[in-house]
Amino acid sequence: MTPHRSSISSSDTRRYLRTLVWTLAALVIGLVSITAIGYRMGWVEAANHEIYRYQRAKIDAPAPIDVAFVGDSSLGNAIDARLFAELTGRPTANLALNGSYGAGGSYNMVRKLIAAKHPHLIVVMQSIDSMRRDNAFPGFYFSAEPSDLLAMPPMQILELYFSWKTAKRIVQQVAKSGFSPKVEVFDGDYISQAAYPIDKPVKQVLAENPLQPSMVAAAQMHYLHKIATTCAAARITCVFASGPIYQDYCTQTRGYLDALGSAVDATGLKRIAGTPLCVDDAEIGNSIDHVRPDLKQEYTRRYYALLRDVVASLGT
Amino acid sequence: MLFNSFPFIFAFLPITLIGYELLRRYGPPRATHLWLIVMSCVFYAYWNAAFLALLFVSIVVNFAIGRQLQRRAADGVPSRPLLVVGLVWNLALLGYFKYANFFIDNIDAAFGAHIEFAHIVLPIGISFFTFQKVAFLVDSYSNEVERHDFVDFCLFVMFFPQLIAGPIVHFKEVIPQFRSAVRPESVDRYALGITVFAIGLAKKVIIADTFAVDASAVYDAAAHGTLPAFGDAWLGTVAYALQIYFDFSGYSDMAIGLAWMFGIRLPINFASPYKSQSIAEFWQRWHITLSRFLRDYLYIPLGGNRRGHARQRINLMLTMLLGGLWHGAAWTFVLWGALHGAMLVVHRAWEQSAFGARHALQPMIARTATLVCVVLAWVPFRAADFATTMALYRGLFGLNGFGAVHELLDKASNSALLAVAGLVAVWILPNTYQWLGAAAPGLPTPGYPATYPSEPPTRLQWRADRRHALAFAVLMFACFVKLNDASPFIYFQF
Repeated sequence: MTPHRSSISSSDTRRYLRTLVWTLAALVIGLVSITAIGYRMGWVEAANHEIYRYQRAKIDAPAPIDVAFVGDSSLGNAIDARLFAELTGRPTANLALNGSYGAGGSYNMVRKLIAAKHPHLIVVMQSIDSMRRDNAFPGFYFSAEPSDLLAMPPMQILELYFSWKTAKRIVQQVAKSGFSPKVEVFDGDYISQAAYPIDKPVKQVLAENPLQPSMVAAAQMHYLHKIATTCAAARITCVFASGPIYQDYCTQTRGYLDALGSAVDATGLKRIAGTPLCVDDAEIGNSIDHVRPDLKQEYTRRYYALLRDVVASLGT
Repeated sequence: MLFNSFPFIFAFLPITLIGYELLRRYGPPRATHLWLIVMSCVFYAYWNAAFLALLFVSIVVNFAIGRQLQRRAADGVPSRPLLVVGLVWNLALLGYFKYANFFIDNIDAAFGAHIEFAHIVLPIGISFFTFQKVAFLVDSYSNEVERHDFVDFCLFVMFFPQLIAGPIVHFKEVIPQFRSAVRPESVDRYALGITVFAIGLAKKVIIADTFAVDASAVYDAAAHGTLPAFGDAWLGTVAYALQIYFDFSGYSDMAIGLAWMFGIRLPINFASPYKSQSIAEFWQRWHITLSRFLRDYLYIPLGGNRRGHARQRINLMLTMLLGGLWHGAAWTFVLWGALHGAMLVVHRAWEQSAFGARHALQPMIARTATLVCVVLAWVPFRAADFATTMALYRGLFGLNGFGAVHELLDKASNSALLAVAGLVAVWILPNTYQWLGAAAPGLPTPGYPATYPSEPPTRLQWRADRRHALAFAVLMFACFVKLNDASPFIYFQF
């Protein structure tokens, strides 16, 4: 065997190693610091603490909740809780977060809701588009209680903070809007839609975001399964309904919808037939899965029609 | 566990290194060996703990058979039946886990038998550690194995840097290193080990994964019925040729760098294969440890070149067909092996002919022709099936049309330029071990192209100075930020 030949001295190597390690450590710490500060200050949508605090307050309030909706902005823009309460005769709350929280955020809302109120029905409503996103864990992390931290995989937390994409988004956000995070305006149920229609043609959004059957995110299903298990343990009826979506998604992503349906069924959550509701060009709001604000009541009625049998089967 | 993942880089590796150093300084003799075995078990079990039992049983059986073979060989009465038992045991395991489904599917297809058979999960790394143990048994039979105990043997098979995808090491290459009490200074080991690991990581996550995008787009579309036009077919195929080179040579560099952090030199697996001037030379530069295994344990036992030209050609063909099948249980891999076998036969015939002896090709022409042949042969290796293979070949020869001019120009502006840059890089740049020069920690294989430069270091050569340290820190950081999009190594599936 050829003996190892070394042409470098140990002092050179020591200096080399020291420089390499310290520079790398500085870069890593720098990146983690940027993302951590960005998250803390609410400069990243995933850490949109305002919407979380707003919805969390509904759970902490003394008013009873018998029917609750949890999910993303497709829910926030589609369900008017007051109208739904009138239609069902049951106190209702819309606890929608946004797409960045994913099913992980919904799971935490369900846990907190069950601990505080013990409702009869929880409707999980997520947009089909958000169920492809790989953000279920960040959503869970940013809506978890400090006591949950110990049970979280440290590597996943590290991945969350060691993210170039997040750091880039933070820098862009700060460059665009300064150091003050955007202040949301709430309409009683959810964030008011500032402007619509959507700023980019919906067909273009669809072309840029084709949904393939393989794209259903396993992490989202993981948290839906946890919701189903939690509900079953608490003997609470929990169902899944897809939020409204632009009509071309209904027609052009059949394979994805079938795959999503099968995956949701496998989680143990009962799926509400007839969802997603398909939204045409005239009804679309400021996103592919937001209906126009003036149609919120109309869509609440349409979802009520789909949920009527489930509501009727609930005890008092 | 992937080398290019957060859990490996930020948890497994630091824990393993800290434990190793502590035990080396304060632990009893050989505690480091046990530690490396335990951590290698953790490394393997992270993927699927159930197969750890299979690996362990296989180790026990091979150790027992090897021990008997060595005793008989030392007594001057080598036992061929025992060797056969050992080989059958290893090949039966490989056959069951890797080829049973393939075999049943072919019977079903040929006879419409519809045999009910469970889908068998392939234990990761089985192709590699099976070959390693086969070589061990043959070497034991030939009395070429040094004295060792069970711990040595476990370490030989399980040492995590080479457990999953090689390099395929020989017992005599690594065990004397493990048994030696002398280790290079830890600062030397870490400086070079991290450097080689960083080069491999960059090859994988920055280069290979970038080319994977174009290769997958073309090959996946073809698998779904799209007929690739001339430009697309060439772009996808060249991109794949670059992807697989940077992916696997990157993996091998990472394995070598990791092993060196523990003071162990693993054999070099790649020596600028795309610079080869013949297909025979390509196989001396590509996946060197597999190539030498096939040569020593298949081609030479078949008779090699000792039984005339015709027999030599048959041996070459058989060796490459089996080499193809080793890569994967699919006819496309057999076709890939057949193409390489045929190219080796043609090359040998050319060399042996009077015309070939008088008319040696210009080096540049020979290098270009070899590269084109190798790139064309990658098509069945990447394609999902024969239909996709044929769709790609039709595209490569212009039979699916040439596409619109504006499409060609669009491609020329980005992906194609990247592919051309990649080709130029693999043609003119030094490989990892040439660039690292005399300090490189890889083990050259005797008889294969030299991988260390004979000339004095150039200005471009790596040095342990501050400039290089800063550059490598930035490179590693760039790799780390891409870890969120980590993809597995191509050779993990084999």
